[in-house]
Amino acid sequence: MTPKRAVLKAIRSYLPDKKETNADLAREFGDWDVKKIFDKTGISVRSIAAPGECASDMGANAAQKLFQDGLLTPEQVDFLIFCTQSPDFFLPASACLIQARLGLRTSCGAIDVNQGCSGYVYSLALAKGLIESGTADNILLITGDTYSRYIHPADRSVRTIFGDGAAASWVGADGGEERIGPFILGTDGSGAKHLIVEAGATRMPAAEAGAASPETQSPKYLYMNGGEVFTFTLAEVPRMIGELLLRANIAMEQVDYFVFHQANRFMLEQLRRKLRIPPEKFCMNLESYGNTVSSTIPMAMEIANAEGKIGPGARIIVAGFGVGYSWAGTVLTIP
Amino acid sequence: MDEAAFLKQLAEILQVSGETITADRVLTESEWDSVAVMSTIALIDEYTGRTVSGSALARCGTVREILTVAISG
Repeated sequence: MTPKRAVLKAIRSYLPDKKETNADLAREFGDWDVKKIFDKTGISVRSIAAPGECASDMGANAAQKLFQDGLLTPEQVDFLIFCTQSPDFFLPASACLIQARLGLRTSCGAIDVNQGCSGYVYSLALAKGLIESGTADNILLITGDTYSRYIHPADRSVRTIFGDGAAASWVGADGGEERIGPFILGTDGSGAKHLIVEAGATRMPAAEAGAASPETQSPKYLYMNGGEVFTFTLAEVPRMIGELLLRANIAMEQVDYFVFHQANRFMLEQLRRKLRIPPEKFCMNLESYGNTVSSTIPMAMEIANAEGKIGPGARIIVAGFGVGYSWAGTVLTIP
Repeated sequence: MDEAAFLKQLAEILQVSGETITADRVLTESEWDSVAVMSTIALIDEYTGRTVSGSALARCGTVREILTVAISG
């Protein structure tokens, strides 16, 4: 019997209805213009979850698109991975709620994965392990986040970057060659303080989190030290890509396309230059959705696929990096 | 490190004319914003192969201090 191989079979994404344009932000903050925001971020519009709309709701909507398009049926799914940092509750896991919502079998495994920008690639590593160990055959991998809930309304540095959204990927089983992997995974928790929402969980309950001055730096809200996160990214991502090429035993020229976490245009452009990747091989399509954290890689791949940039047989490198610090990269071959 | 070439590119980041940038230049709050700091991190990386700390760079008050961070890390 040939060994089972994990294959990324399909992706569908979902964005909430409410949109925030650069013109909206420029109007709100007064001294900014639309062009300046776009030039720095590469983003024209972000989607914002409606009040009461959770990451799990958006994730279920993305999964419904896989079902409605006839790609996968709820009965086929035997494992659900939900990658989020915006769960519905402390407990139970949001994956359990999504299982019931989508009508997945009760014999279906379901777990949450708490990772952000690296989370999609981490979840692919788990999906591969589950399939190639014979534990599951059809994995529904959902990513979803509502960072807008964590952002102080006056914190324009992060409001311009982050958007809400979700994506659903079907990772199935096939025979033949390896089409997901190898993986390079990494962690440096000493960088945790540079991208964090401190209050609201057990270390600092929300009730004990006093207001800070300025208010945008209250521990209740998302704090990002952009310079430190950038320094980490510029040092670690090229190193990770080098290790990945070495482990996959391929040269840079043998990679058809690179899909990095769509953080913002500035950071992506610096990484592209440092790695000497030609622009035509480098994905930068966050203009219409912004930094949706764990969902940028599948959203970027869905768009690149629709634009014909990654067809069957294409070998692509995907890489996620950020909050944690946490990073992960792998090689995907499109079936 | 080719200091003259580095200063020319730093002037572009700070959006000032290359002729007027000297080591003594005091950085204004508006020109030394977070994007300028990040651009300078990338510039130093390009010239020295080292990735310097964003916080150390953000604390710089003059062009000379930037040069010190670039050279000594």
